[in-house]
Amino acid sequence: MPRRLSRITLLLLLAAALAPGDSSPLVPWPHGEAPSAIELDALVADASSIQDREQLEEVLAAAEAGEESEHLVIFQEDIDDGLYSHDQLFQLGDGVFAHEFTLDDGYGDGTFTSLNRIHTGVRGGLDTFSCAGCHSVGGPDGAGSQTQNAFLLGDGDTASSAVVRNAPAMLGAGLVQALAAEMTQILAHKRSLALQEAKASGVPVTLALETKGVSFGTIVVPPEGALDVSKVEGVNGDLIVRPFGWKGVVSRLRRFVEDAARVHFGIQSQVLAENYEQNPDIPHLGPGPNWYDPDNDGEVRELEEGILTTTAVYLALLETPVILPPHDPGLRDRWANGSALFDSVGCAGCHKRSLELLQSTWHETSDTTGGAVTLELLYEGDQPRGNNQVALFSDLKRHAMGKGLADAHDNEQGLPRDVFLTRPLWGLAETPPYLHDGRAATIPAAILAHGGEAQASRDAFAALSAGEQADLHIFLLSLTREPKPRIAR
Amino acid sequence: MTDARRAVRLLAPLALYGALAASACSNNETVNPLLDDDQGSAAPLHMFSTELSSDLREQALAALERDAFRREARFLDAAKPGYFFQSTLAPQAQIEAGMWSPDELFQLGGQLFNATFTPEIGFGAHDLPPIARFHTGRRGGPDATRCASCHWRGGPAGAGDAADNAYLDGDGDRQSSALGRNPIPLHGAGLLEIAASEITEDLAAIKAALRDQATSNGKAVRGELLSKGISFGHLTARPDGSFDNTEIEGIGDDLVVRPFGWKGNVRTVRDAVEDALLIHHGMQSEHLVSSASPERIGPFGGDDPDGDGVSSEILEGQVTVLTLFVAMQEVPAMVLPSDTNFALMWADGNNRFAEIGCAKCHVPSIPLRSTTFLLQGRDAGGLVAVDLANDAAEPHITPSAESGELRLFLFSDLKRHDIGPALAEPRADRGVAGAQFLTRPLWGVARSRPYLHDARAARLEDAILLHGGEAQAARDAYAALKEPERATIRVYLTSLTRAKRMVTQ
Repeated sequence: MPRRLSRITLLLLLAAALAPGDSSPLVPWPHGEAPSAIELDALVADASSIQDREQLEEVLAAAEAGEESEHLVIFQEDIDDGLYSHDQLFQLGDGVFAHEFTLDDGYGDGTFTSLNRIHTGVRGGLDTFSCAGCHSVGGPDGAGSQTQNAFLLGDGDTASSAVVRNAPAMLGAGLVQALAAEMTQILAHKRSLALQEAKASGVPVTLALETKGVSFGTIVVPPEGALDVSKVEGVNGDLIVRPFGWKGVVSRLRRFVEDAARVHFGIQSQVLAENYEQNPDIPHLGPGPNWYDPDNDGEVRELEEGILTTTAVYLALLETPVILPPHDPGLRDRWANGSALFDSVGCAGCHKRSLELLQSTWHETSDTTGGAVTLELLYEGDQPRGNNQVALFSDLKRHAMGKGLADAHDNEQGLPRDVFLTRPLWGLAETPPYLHDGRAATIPAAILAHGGEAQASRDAFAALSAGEQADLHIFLLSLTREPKPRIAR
Repeated sequence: MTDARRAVRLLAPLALYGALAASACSNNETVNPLLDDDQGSAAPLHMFSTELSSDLREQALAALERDAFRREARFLDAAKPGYFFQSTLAPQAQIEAGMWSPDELFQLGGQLFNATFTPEIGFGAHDLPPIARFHTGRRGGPDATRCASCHWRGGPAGAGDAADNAYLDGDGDRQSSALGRNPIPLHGAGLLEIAASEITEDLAAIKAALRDQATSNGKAVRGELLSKGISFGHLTARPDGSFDNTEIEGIGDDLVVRPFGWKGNVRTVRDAVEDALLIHHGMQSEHLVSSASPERIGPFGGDDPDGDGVSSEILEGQVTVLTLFVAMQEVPAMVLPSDTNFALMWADGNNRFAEIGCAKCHVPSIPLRSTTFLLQGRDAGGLVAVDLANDAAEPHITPSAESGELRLFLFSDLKRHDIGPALAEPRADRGVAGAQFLTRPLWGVARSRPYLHDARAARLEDAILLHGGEAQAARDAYAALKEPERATIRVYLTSLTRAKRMVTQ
């Protein structure tokens, strides 16, 4: 480094001579200053230990046939028995995320000749071989690029037949899952109180569905009989907040993992197979020859339940995005102005800056054994973790976004084509392109594509001066992830 | 460039911060002082560097520094829309005049490689969809807004995942109509071009010598087309000055080696870069606008053939810096396993790789005469030269300590081969038959999974077993090995990797 240091010294001298009063340091460190020696050592140690592990696994996989796939044999019962520490579960989940599924693992339906980027109905396609393959933008566990879009529910060949979905970044997913579960719990509790009240009074009770400052409309609870859910907003009539998927259709990470493995790789979880025994879901899983091999590829137990658990734990313990304003004082002023504009324009109405997490303990419960892994979401896992004011920039509610953004085709759940969950904006700067189909390359383009319930905010943004629009853009670019060096793989 | 001039240039961003800070006090409009500079708007933003320390701690600090500059540049781009793209606008004349150091040119190219192309600066075309997964003929998608979004795996300018495949020359809607192409890693691209052009020179010299002999002796002369130890078959010169081309192997009758593209149909980094900008982003270079057919650039003619309302989308200087960025990419490294048992397996694998015939086409190394990458500007442009042995991204090529000889550990013969019916495509691609593919260089192969032209092989072994045609015998020899012997070849191949490199996002 001596060469670099001498250049920096020279520049600082020149800067002092040519621009007296300008005290901007040469490197615009996002935290104001360079990492300390101790911080740097820790970062290098982290990066090196990941690299050492990956390098060893790479040569082991080369040296022993089938070695990679042994990582996929993790039994829920062993997890329940405490065989794995949380760190081990995290590392195993990391391995699953990077694992390239093969025919021996049960990839596809056994007759693989090429990838199939356009899905065939609800069975899915064959998009790539690993989770990491489509979550590459902005770093590990990041978002997908346009080319990595998934084309769901299509005819197996034609792009125009499909519903297009851009891969979301996975950071902070554990806190999102926990927030949604709390909201669901609170709404259910309120509903049961209303039912008691209705039974006691004998008259229907109209209940305001409010939780964490978000209103989901009202529900009418009669003393007996069906609830009137016609005034419920932004959530299904069952009042279960589902924060995953662009339309908000999945509530648990283990289900998200299970579905992704199924539609992107043709890898079927043992939980799905066991359900199939009772209730053969031929459209989603295939005609079998039998319940334990629904896709008839000769591979059974393609994804143990233990893998769903390790991967869900991994995702829950990923780092949380951060806000890092510009370094330059002038840009910082503009950032502050942009932050104020975010509220005054009305963005924050749906992209709520934060939701309060009441209970940071998460129980990753098994589907079949009754066991659970108990995580302390704010205290364990990858740094940074944030705090109980979870700054996700979403109300976790669905909204109608207008015809311009509507899907070309119906989705599976029968939700209107223009309805989408408020996308959490945390980490935004590192997750281009934007919107459900990745159509917007830049943040301003994404804002201007908003319509429906967001039309007024969108128009207010469009009416700002160019400078004010830029200020808001600067603010949104501060929603990012912590800079972390890693060794390229 | 003198230190003082370099310092002034490096100070430009500081001046910009100052201007922005000042303008923020008065109003929210900012003026990019670089735009008014008669030097043009180009500015290295310190986001890329050709240097790579061998110390991981220094690497980490340097990576974090570059990341800090990247973040600040992104804010500046929001403050002054277009700032980032404009920072790559080095005038060709300045580059030719040597006003930019190789490292600065690398930075400018890197900035373009990572820039987001938007409709405002020429992304897309009037008569194509805003984005399309499958290409429409030779016009392309567009299918991506950044080069880097499909070249990420294994490090900067790396390979693409299977999901990143490009689907060339289709009907715009059906996957089955298009040719799947996995994005290749770009490491060592400049040296690859030099090696190919040296072979092309050698073959041209052989051809000329045969013709001279045939015409002066008055009878046909047959000679071997041999360059760098690789035989491209035989050529017979007739006394009348014509040739019998029927014995030429692995190369077109023009005897020009085209080392880029899975089919080996692109001759230079520049051609590859210009075509990629066109088909993936709808960003049209001045040169293509003035010279290419409407089938490639669109029907609207004039200076805006794609009809998107933007002309001069990519200037000659931008093609130059992007070409140089790609050409100056690092050379992959061979890293032996540190564990003794694995190291012994590696040694076995090294021998077996040759024994079973892999090395016949995947020739481990070839000699190189020169390391000077020459880029001839188009349309009366001048010459730009970069010495890749000194100025490319580290690690760069180094002569042998013993002999001083330069060798390229490429693992390819740069020939095209019939690879059998299983991998063959139903039609030719730009003149290369469906079953013909260039021997893919295996350098860095451990960092560029998945494998084969359409990424159908998740692992190296899957790829080996899918070989056919001219590679059938070698493939069968691999399949006939006992598992522990196969493992040695796999361990050997995992040593073909890239140098450890700290990166951030």
